[in-house]
Order: sequence, then structure tokens, then C-alpha cells
Amino acid sequence: MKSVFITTITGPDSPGIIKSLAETTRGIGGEWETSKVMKLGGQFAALMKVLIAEESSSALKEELEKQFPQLVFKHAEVVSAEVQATKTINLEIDCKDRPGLTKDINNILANLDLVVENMEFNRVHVSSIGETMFNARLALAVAESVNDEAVAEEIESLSDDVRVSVI
Amino acid sequence: MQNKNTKSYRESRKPRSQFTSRGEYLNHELSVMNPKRWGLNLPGRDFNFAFEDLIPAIAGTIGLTVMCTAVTNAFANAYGLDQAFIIENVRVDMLVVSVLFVILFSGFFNPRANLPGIHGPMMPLIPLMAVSGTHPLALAILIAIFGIILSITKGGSRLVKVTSQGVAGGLLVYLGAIGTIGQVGAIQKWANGMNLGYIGFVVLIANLILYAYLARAKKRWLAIPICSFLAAAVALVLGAPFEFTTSPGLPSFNPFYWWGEDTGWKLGMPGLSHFISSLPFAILAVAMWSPDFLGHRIFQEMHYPKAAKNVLMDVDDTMINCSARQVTSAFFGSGCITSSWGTYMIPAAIAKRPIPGGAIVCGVLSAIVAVAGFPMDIAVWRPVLGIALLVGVYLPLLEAGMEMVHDSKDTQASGICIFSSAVVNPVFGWALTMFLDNNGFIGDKERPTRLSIGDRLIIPGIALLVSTVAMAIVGMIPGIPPLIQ
Repeated sequence: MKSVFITTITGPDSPGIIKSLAETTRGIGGEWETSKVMKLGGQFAALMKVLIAEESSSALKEELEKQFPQLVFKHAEVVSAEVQATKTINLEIDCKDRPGLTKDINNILANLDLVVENMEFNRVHVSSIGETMFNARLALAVAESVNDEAVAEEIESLSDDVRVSVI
Repeated sequence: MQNKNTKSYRESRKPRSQFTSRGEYLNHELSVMNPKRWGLNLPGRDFNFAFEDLIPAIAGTIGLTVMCTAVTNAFANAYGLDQAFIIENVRVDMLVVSVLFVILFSGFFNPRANLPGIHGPMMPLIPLMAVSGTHPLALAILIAIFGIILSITKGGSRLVKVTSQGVAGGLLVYLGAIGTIGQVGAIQKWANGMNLGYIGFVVLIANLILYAYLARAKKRWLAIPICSFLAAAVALVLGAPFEFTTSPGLPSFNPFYWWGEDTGWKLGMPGLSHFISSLPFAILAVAMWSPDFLGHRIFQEMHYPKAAKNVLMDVDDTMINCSARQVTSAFFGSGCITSSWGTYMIPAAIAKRPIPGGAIVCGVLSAIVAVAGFPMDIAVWRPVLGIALLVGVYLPLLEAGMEMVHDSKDTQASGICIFSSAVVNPVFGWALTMFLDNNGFIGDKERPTRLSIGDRLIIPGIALLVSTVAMAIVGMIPGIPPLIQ
């Protein structure tokens, strides 16, 4: 019997890393049904939906962690859409721009139980004061029970100048 | 999003004595105010005045006087008009804007719309507009149409997105650099013309030091009034001749005078060729609105308490205000190009005051200045005019452009933008590099993958095609004769 799980991989990017991961998975009889990879600033994050024989599942997880000690692996069950009803909330974030801001926002989002459906960033310079402002529009898929304002407040906790509006 | 506060402002507000600090009182005022968009807002019922309203009002009045005079001066030089024209035309603009759009529009009928000020970045393009046959009334009509379309379609944030950091940076660096070099040269030429060359040098050096200090102290929003004052004081102390010549009075508000064949601008009413030659500049002017408007709104939001959602500037309403101001002031004879009023909004945000109270005070002060007339004599005086433009427009543009360029992908796009701006003009430079950059031919090769077809091909393609064809028709492409004589 086949088992399906989601593996999240994060860590430093290196040439051919995705190919090596795929080869290791295939070597133990697994395959990636779908995958999403994002690379930024020398780091990468990947989400893989892995399909493998149930008895090989643990072996694959162990092998991945053994062969790629520099990477962080997280394995989770696939949650079907029917199990948890979701809704989309749209947020607008405004604040002063600073180095590492998008990374900090991504970190906060990663710690919340949500899926980022869409994310757009804009940086605009206010010439009369010589400062750059940051604006982001997010579409987030969250469980029906989640309070929109609570998500906004969580992001606002980033720093005093951050303002988040539910739109 | 508006707060669902069922109590009215009058019911919710509390006297100053109930707060431990002035800051708490001002924050509370911002949080309980709920002005109507497109309805009558009255002092006492919907908002109140505070002495802090004087900060944006005075800063805004000085900003408008200096910037309006600078734009009109640039137009007058380019079109061969005299100083009497400048003073009268500035009066028209300041009176129409302060009464109709500052006091009535932003003060009483829509305090969510920021005041419509002057579009500084367009100033270096004015000589080019004159050479290419741009008509200020045609330009104003086109800007108003594009502005209303942008407001209705809520396309502001999209326009920010289609112009990359590299392209926007290159455009601002080019405009800032030519403006800075031009104004430094103009001040030196003025001083040398009196055989007092050292005055120009001292005025420039003194302001260079002051500007650097203000930037370091994060008080750059004070640069226009303080540096203009220093320029006037230094020039006068060193013996530069100056006299007040303008007496109080009202200008003509007759559009047929201003747009007559032999009176006012001496251009007559605009024809088809005027609209065609104005088209590229109108596109660029409105395209440059979005970052300004968005930046002002975010800056205001950051300085207000989190609960003050109902008094935040509405970007789309401000675009409507600017569009209406643009076409109305031009109808009455003004040549000023408008944008969100930064010299009002930035001090208002810092002083924690909402738009309406300060707007009414600012409108009254601006009207008084326009009628009195003599402040324009100072504003149009070369050391004051040049320094105000340097510290208020060109240096901030230059710095903004440089700050936008972060990495080698940005520098490539900005370099091509500067190059193509120098080859034809900044409108062409912006449209061409935006198209090339959004399709991965220059700069960031990954950029096309992040853009939709509309942002990649349709918007930049239309901007490039329309502006290039319009420029070719009126002979603005170097070496190619006009397609229509």
C-alpha cells in the first residue's frame, strides 16, 4: 500500500541539490507527485508531496536526513481540503522599509497555520524625507475559524511601525 | 477599512484636560475622528482645530509658494514670458487651489483626500515640453483624464509594480542630476552676472552644509523653508541687490485672457498637435504619481496610532482631487503640474494632525500670500528659487534614485534608462527600459516570471508605443523630422 506525505526541506542552496534529493527519493522507490521550490539569497525551501510504499516511508525519511545533514526536513500528513474548510483573507502591510523585513514577515507567516496564496511587495521612496516605505498585499488561506484581526495583530507584533489592514 | 464606531466624533472626543500628555490627546483625536468622504464636514462637529495644525499649514504654504513659483518660472523662461506673468500666474494657481481644492475639497468635502500640490519631478522636463510644443492646458486635460482613470480602476499599486526599482531609480537619478547641475549653474550665473560670483559660491556651500545636517538629523522635511531662508539671508548679507516690487492685488481669472493668442501665455487654445505633444509627458506625470501617493499614505499611517483608520489619506480620492485641481487651475490659466502635496502631508503626519483642520489654515494662508504678492518676489529671487529647487526637489530625487538601485540587476536597468533618457528624453527612457526590463531583456532575467502578461507586455507596450508615436509625430525623436508639420 502506498503512503503519501508532505516533506518540507529548508537550508543552504547548492548546485544540483534538488536533483540529488530526487535521486535519493527514487533510489528508495519513492516519487514526488508535486513539488514547489523557492530560492532566495543562497537559501532554498522546497515542499514535496511524496508517494512511496508504506513500508519504505521511514527508510526514505532516515536516508534523506543522513545524506543531507545540512538541510532541515519536516514531514507532515496530507490534509485534504474536505477535512478543514478554509477561507481567504486579504491583508495590506505598511511600514518603514529595512533590511531583512520580508524575511521577518515570512518567518511570522511560517509560524502561523496558513497558506500564502499570493504575496506582492512594493517599496516606495518618499523623497521629501529620504526614507523608503514598504507595502505588501497578502492573500492568505486560513481555517474558517481563524479570526482575521488576530492574524493582522500577529503580523503587527513585528515592530511598532507596522500597520496591517484587513481589506 | 473604516472602524465601525457608532458614536459620532462629538460624542467620542474628550477635552485635553482628561489626558496626561498632549501626544495622548492628539492620538485620541485621530482615533475618534470619522470624517465623511464626499459629504459636508464641519469644524466642531466632524473635526477640530489645534495649534499643531499650524505646522503643516505653514510648511505647506511655504512649499506651495516656492514650488508654484518655481514651476511657473520654468514655464516662463521656456516660453519667453516676463516676471509680471510669473507673479500673476502664480496668484491664479494659488488662489484657485487654496479656495477650491485645499479649503473646500480637502477641508470640508473629503478630508480623506490629501491636498493637491506641485509635481516636483516633472520640473526638469519643462524646457523640453516647451521645445516639443506642449500646451499647459492640453497637458492638464490629459493628466486629469489619466488620473481619473487611474483612480477609478484603482491602478495605482499596479503602476508601482510595473516599473522596477532599477528603471525608477535610473529615471529619478537622471531627473535629479540634470536638475541639480542646472540649478547650481543658474545660481552661479546669477552671481557672476552681478560680478559678485563669490555670493553664489557662499550661498551654495552654506546650504550644502545645512542640508547635510538636516538629512543627518532626519529633519529633511524642513529643508525648503530653512534653506530658502538661509539662501536669502546669506545673499542679502553679502550685498546681493533685492527689492519687493509686487503690491497686493488679484489676478485675472478670465481663461480667455490666459489662453489668448496675444495675452497671458500667448499660446491660444490647444489644438490636436498640442494634445499629441503633451501626451508622453501626461503619461509620465501620472505614472510618477503612484509611488508619491503611496509613500505619503504609508508615512502618515506609520505616524498615526493604529486605531486611527478613519483619517488616513485615501490614495484614490487624492487622485480625484489632483485630477480635478489639474484641469480646473489650468482652465483658469495656471501651468502648474500637480501631485500629492508632500510639504503638507509629511509635517501633518509628524505633528499627528488629520487633513482637514490644517488644510483650511493652509488654504487661508496660501490665499493671503497670493493676494499680498510680495512673498512671491522672494520666492522668485534666484538664490531662493535655486536653493528651494535643489533641496526640495532635485537632491531628494537624486538620492531617491540612488537608494532604489540595490544590486547589479538594478544598476543595469537604471544605466540603460539614463542612457536612453539622454538619447531621446526621460519619457522615452522610462517607457523603453520598462518594456525591456519587464520582459527580461535587461536587468533581472527572472522578472518576467513574476509578472502577468498585462504587466509585462500590455501596459509597458502601450506606454512605449503611444509615447514613441506621439513623439515621432511632433518631431521629438532626434534626427527624425515631424511626421505632421
